[in-house]
Amino acid sequence: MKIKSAVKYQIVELRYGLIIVYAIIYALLIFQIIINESMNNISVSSTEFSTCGFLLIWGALTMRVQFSFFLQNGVSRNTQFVSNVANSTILSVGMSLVASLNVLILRLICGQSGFAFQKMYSAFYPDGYTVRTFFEGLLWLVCAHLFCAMLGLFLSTLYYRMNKITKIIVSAGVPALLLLGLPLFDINVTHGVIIQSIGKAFLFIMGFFNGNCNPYYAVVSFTVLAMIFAGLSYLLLRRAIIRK
Amino acid sequence: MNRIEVKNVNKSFQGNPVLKQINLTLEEGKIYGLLGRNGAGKSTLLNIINNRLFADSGEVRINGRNAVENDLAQGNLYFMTEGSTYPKDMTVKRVFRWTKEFYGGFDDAYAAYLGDLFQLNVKKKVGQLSTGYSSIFKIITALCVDVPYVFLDEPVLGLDANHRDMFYKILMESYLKKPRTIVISTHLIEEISGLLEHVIIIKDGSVIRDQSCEELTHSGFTVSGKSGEVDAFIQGKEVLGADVIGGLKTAYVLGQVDRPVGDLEVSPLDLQKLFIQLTASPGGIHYEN
Repeated sequence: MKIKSAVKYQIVELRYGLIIVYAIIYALLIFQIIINESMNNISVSSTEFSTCGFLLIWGALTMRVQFSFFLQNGVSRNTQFVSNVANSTILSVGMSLVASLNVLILRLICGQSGFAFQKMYSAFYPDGYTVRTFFEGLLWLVCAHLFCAMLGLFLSTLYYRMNKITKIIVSAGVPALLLLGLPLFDINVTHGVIIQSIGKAFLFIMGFFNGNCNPYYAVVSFTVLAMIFAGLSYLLLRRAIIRK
Repeated sequence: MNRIEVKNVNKSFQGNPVLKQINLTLEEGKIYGLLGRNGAGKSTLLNIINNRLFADSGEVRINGRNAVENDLAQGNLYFMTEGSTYPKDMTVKRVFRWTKEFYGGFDDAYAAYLGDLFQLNVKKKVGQLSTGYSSIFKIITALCVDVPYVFLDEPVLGLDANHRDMFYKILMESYLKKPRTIVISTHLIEEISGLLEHVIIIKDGSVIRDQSCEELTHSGFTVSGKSGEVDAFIQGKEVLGADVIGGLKTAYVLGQVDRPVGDLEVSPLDLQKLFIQLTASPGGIHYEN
């Protein structure tokens, strides 16, 4: 019942953030085009992954900014969750579409412009940039954006549910463990096996294995991970209480 | 009949019981006073009714619907809290706009009128308002939203005497124009007592009184005079408490006057005095250095 109002609120209140992020993206693109045209260099790097970071941050801020506000307006936690997922999906599709269209426009202006997705999976697209590349790239981007949004939402909800001491332990402990503890342990004890395995697993999730590549591995991985983080954030949200 | 029913609600925080077997009903179209000392459980109860906290056991029903995680049920309530639940960078004007969006009904004209009356700058951001004006914008929002149940938790926090007086008049005016259930939780009992129809008193997590204001204040009387004469008068009666100053005594007595008063002065129970006596801690004030 209030889902429509909740989604409308989230999108309307995001307008300034969207304006700023796209102003920066287009400013960078125009700058690149001018520089490259003046130097007769026709290659321009596209920015199709930059909005993934925006959605990660959006998700990470959602709980802190919106939870109390929604409860104040009689929006239940269940409706908030549905609104968050709906809004994440709308933003993921919208931003991915804009990013993909940017690439098309760049190709029209600059000829052989860089399409990061295509470059990453060049072995999968021997014919270069085609209609198939456009749509599969779009699908890949939508799933990547959705994953980032759900990850941000999960982190935001997790932090909200933590008490002060746990927050400090996690905020300091997790980076220390990942950046210091794990590498030191891996170098001295397991002789690089752990980090190598993590690297291989990451490449496999992204669809790179045995000299081949397949973007659909990443599409499935992003989708499954997005669903997992969405589920976890719901479990955390359903018993969240308002704080002073 | 439309009502809010609270049935056998219990709530504890870290093993400390805050609400114990709360049972009460809020009927439609009445002004309730929810009274209690600091830490009695008033805000906890209001937060549970408004789906901000979860009860450990028991249930709350709003017009027959379960209140927990129910948009339809919660759409009947507006809760003005002591703290702020609005984004600090949101303007008052946008608060009104979004309240209208979420609740489906908001009297913009009345909000503009009240804003002018209180000299509230609606273009100001919520985070920039003083404590008093923060209460004012929340009061205006609560009085303009179209819901059958309005909860006001410490509505006059930070308000000066003039604004408090204006609030009480506006509250009555708004209630007469559009009768609905209003629940006021406040420590300023003396100021609000004239507005209340029904009083709920919570002490140590339990409801100790749930009666109409008239019944409550007529459930006993106040007798004042010379200490000896008052003591003789109250012999055998249920005495809530007494104040002694010099040789004069004022006693607060439950029941009716059933004997000649002589030179003593008898008056109805004052709600604030009754509240103080009912919720007084044992032992009183006694400092030894």
